[in-house]
This record gives sequence, C-alpha cells and structure tokens, in this order.
Amino acid sequence: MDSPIDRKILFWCILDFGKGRKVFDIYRDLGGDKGIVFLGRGTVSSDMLNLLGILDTRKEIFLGLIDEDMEDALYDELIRRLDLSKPHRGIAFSMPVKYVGSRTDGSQTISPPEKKEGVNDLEYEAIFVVVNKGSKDEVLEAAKAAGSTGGTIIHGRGVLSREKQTLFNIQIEPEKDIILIVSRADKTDDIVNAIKHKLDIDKPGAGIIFVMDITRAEGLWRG
Amino acid sequence: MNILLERLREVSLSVLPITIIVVVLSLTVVPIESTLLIRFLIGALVVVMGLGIFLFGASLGVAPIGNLMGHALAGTNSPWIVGILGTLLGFLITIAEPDLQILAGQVRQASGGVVSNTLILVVVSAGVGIMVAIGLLRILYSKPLNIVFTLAYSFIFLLGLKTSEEFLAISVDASGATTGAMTTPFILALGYGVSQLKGGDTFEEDSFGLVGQASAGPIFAIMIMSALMGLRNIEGAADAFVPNVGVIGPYVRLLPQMMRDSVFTLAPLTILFLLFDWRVFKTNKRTRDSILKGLLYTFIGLTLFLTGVNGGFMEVGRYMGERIAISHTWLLPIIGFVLGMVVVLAEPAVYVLTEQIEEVTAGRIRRKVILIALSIGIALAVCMSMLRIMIPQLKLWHFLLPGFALGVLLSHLVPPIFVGIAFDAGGVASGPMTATFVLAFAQGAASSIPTASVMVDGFGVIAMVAMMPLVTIQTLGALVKLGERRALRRQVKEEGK
Repeated sequence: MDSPIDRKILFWCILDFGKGRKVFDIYRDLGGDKGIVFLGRGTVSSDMLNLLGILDTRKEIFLGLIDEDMEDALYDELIRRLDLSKPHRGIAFSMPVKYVGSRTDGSQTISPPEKKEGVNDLEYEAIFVVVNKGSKDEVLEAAKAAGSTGGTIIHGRGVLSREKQTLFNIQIEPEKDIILIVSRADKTDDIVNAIKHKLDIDKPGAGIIFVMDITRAEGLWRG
Repeated sequence: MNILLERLREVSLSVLPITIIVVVLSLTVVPIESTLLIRFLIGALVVVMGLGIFLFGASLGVAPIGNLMGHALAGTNSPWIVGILGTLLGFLITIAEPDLQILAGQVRQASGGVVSNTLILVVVSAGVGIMVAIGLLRILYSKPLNIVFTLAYSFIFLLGLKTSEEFLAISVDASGATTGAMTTPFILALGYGVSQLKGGDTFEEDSFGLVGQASAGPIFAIMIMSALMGLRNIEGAADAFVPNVGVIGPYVRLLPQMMRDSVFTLAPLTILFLLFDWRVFKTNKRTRDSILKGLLYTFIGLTLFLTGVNGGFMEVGRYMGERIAISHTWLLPIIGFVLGMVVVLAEPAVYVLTEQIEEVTAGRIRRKVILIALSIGIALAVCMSMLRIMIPQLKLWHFLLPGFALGVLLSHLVPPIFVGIAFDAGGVASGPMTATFVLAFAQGAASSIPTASVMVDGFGVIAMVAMMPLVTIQTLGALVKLGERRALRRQVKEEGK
C-alpha cells in the first residue's frame, strides 16, 4: 500500500423519496462501490403547504465515499440526469474525509482536500444536532429564526444514552432525532447559537451539536 | 406544490386501471347503458379526489395519533395498562366502522332477528379489542408472530368445527369488514409506535402484524356467539336490490348519508386524541394543528370516497355480474380475475400499508412488489369465488380451510417480516372499495345463476379476499428468501476463487 493515496470525499445527496436509487445508479456507473441509502424527512418551506398542515415529506439520503477525481464527473451527471441545478430537485454536497479503512484498501490517513469554491460561490457548512425525540421542532424553529431555510431529520436511537431506559424489563435505547442543516458559512454561528440557547445545550443530556465543513454544494439555491 | 401534484398522479394511476377495465368491458362483453356508464365515470373522478384527500389526511392525522398512542401506551411500562387501554382503543375504533354497521344489519337478517345489531357490534368490537391488546403485548414481550397466528387460527379451527357453514362465512367476513379504511391506518400506526419505542433487532418485523391479529378477533367472537346462542342456519333473504336512476341524483342522495358515516367513524378517534393530548401527549401547537387538519381531510376524503364508490362503482359491479352470468357464464372467473387484480389498487388502506412497508424497511421492500403479490391474491380470490357461485358442489370451506392452513404453515417458513405484512394485507385488502365492488359483482352473478343464492353466496366473498394475501405475500417472502440465499451462495463462491 505504498501507492499515492487518492484524496477521498464523503458525498451526500438528499432527494425526494424514490430517487435514491437513481443516485446510486449514477454513482455505480462512475465506478463507485461504497454507498448507502437511508430515509429521512425534509422540512417543507412552502407557506401554502404548511398552511394545509404539511410540515415535512419523505426524503432519501444517499451517502457515498468517492475519490476526489470522480467528484466533477459525479456532480455533472447529477445535474444532467436529475436536474439538480434547478430549485427543489434535491441537494448534494461534499465533505472532506480524514481517514479511510476497509479490507481491500488497508487503512489510510488522508490529507483533507483543498476547500473548493461552491458552484454559486458561497461557502457552506453542515450543522448536525442530535436531540431526544420530540425536541426536533424546537431545533428547527430556532434555526429558522436565525436564518436557516430548512433541514433534514434522520431518525436514530441511543446516542446520548447516559440514562438507562427499560421497557417491560428489556433495556432499550431511547429514540433520537438527528437534524442536519446545511447553512451558509456566514450564518452558521447565528444558527448554532440560536439552537444552543433554545435547547440549553450545555446542560447534560440536552443534546449535542457539531459543525462540519462542506467543500462543494449543489442545489442550495435559497441558501 | 410538487408534493400535491405527485400525490394526485399516484392516486389517479391507482384508480385508472379499474376504470379502463370497466370501460373496455362495456364496449365488448357487457354493454352498459350510457347513464350508468357516465355515472360510473363521475364516480371514478370522485373516488380519485376522495382517495387523494383521504391519504393526505391519514398521513397527517390518523397515523400520527396511532403512533403517539403506541408510544404513550408502551411507555407506561405496565402490562395492565397496555392490556386494558389496548382493548379499549380497539373496541372504540371498531364499533364506529360503517362497514361493520352494514354487516350487523345483514347478520340480524340472516339470524331471523334473533341477534340484534347492537349485540353484533359489541361482540365483534370486543374481539378486535382483545386481539389488539394481545398483539401489543406480543410486541413488548418479543413473542414470535407466527406462534401467535398458529395459536389463534388453531383456536378458530376448533371453534369452526362447532359452527355451521353459514356462520363460518359470516364470521370470516366480519373480520374483513372491521379493518376498514380508517381503522387500518390507526392500528398500523399503533403497532409501529410501540415497535419504534422498543427498537432492537426485531424492529422491522415488530412493526407489522397488528392489523392481522386484530382481524382474527371478530372470527372467534362471532363463532363463540353463534355456538352459545345455537345459531345454525341462515334464514330470510337479501334485501331486494333497488337500482338508482339518473346520473347526479344518486350522489346527491348518498352524500349526506356518507357524511354521517364518516363523522361516526372519526368521532371516537378525534375525542380520544383531544383527551390524550390534553393529559398525556401535550403536543406543541404546530403538531396539534397539523393533526387536527389531517382529521378534517380524512373526513372530507372519506366522505367523497364512499360517495363515489357507493354511487358509481357498486351498481356497475352488480350490473356486470348479472349480465356476464346470463350471457357468458364461463367468462365469469376470468373477468373476476381481472377485476380483482385492478380493484385492490384503488383501496385506500393498501396505500397506507405499502408506504409504511417502504418506511420501515428503508425502501428495501418496494411498494410495487407488494402490490403485485396483493393483486394476484385478490384476483385469485374473486376468480375462485365465481367458481364457487357457478358450481354448487364447491363449498366455502373447501377454499378457506386449505387457504388458512397454508397461510399458517408458510408463516413458519418465510422471513418474519413477510408474515406480518401478509396477515396485515389480508385485513387491508378487504376495505371499502374491494368489499363494495367485488361483493356487488358476486351478488349480481349469484342473482342470475339459478343454483346460487344471493344471501348465502354473498357471504364469504370478503373472506376469500382477506385470506388470499396470506398465501400470495408469504409466497413472495419465500421467493425473496430463496433469492437471497442463492445470491449469498454465489458471493461465497466468488470470494473463494
């Protein structure tokens, strides 16, 4: 394993339910072999739909590990085949990867790729908030007040289980919501602070919040 | 706006097949007079609107309530509370089901007035309530689903030996009638809520099967009742069928009646929600508003849907059954097959179930695959019901006994998640659309065939519709299992090289 190490990127794509398969196909056509699709819910920003009572819809989230030299081709194909450059067709973004380990590649530490300018010349960051189930509305409200345009909710369990919960004598992991908000870098601080303030996040068990870099993004028009 | 258009497209696509088949049949085998055909087309349009609005309502209102209740019940950590409240919830939700009111009327007639409507309602609802409670406790105590079904159906089989053939048909029909358009989304969500809270590695399979278990309740409830009261033969005859006149008139007459039915159906759930929300859930304003709006849509959608089905679909179904039986008797099973295949696609709860399957399995089991298995199941069910009406020697239990036996046997062989889905699908398929249309078709056919009786042969059709998905969907599960095993073997072989 002495060959020069390619820089790797964690590629995210969030689309309406049913389109995850298409991203997977594009990714595989380009030679990718490490991808997963899972479900989430995306907030709806249309005032009319909100008035009707529709607050979120089903989304599919694709996660794939790609070589840096595949990135351009992948984005081009996504824009071509899924119209990603138009509004409301879904979003895609890249995150730098520091370390990759798998059976075939051995374990490698990779220097992170240079930060690239996004297509619409804005820098983005990804805010992750992990809270107990039921607190997601507070997070989204606080984020919206601080300038975010929406978020994606992923259902999970047990991340913060400091407390042991039992149900009919079986130990269970409490349900959690992970909220992913892609924000413009200049708004990140405001949004993070608003959420921290709202949740009183320094209190133990209130939740965790962290921010990750995004090196490239597509489909975030209102950002 | 995309979301609304997308929904409308999906709903239109699910009602289109049955509409096209009926129009094609009217141009070829059974000419239908133009007023009736136009009324049917208007009915189809009303059904599309109703179905679309109803589904929005179910996902915004009914399902979240079921989910919240599931969480709240299981969160109490007390088997007593789960048992008592589970029974109560199942009871209250079922007793308001309009299909059940109709069935109760039929049973009173069939028993020659010995059994009152109220008694049937209470007996059947209690059956559902008890099974819902058992089903919830099963999830919490991690007992395998196939054991519960094997026990339940063995019990039913033993009771069945003591039950007359007529009441056998009535009791199995009752199980189809109770899991209607409204109860299904609620009971599905209730089970999902409990399994979500519990989590663990059986999460996927725990999320299904509660509807299937609830459907078993009415069967043994009516059987026990008929055994205790010594009811044996069906007396009396079916009500004379009064055809409607005009194109718009029937809809205007039906609308207020369907509105009342929908109010009755939704009332217990709405009251329970407001009560629970006040003391237990304490949801925020945003969520509460969304749920209440959802209930309003459910009401509007259900009213439109039922009006369309009863005003447009029922009479066409009956008319076609009558005509085909007279002119092309041998075509009955074939046309029955085709109609059964497409009619189930327009069933509201089928949508709700397939959507939940996609959500729970993160898209691993796709809606289309389940729909195909379900379509084939209902097609076979209608086809065999036609054969039964045509050939007097064929009895209902000739189909039901092997069918349920096969269903229970398969439940020990296929992946557990398919067991839950299959038994749920049985309850789901026998909803207002299939029940009304298929039943009308069968009764029409029976009225034209001299050896058949509308009353006796009319019962049992829904039972077939509820039974066949057990066989076809579990067969699908077996195929999936074989396919996965083969793929695994191939992978092992390749890696060995």
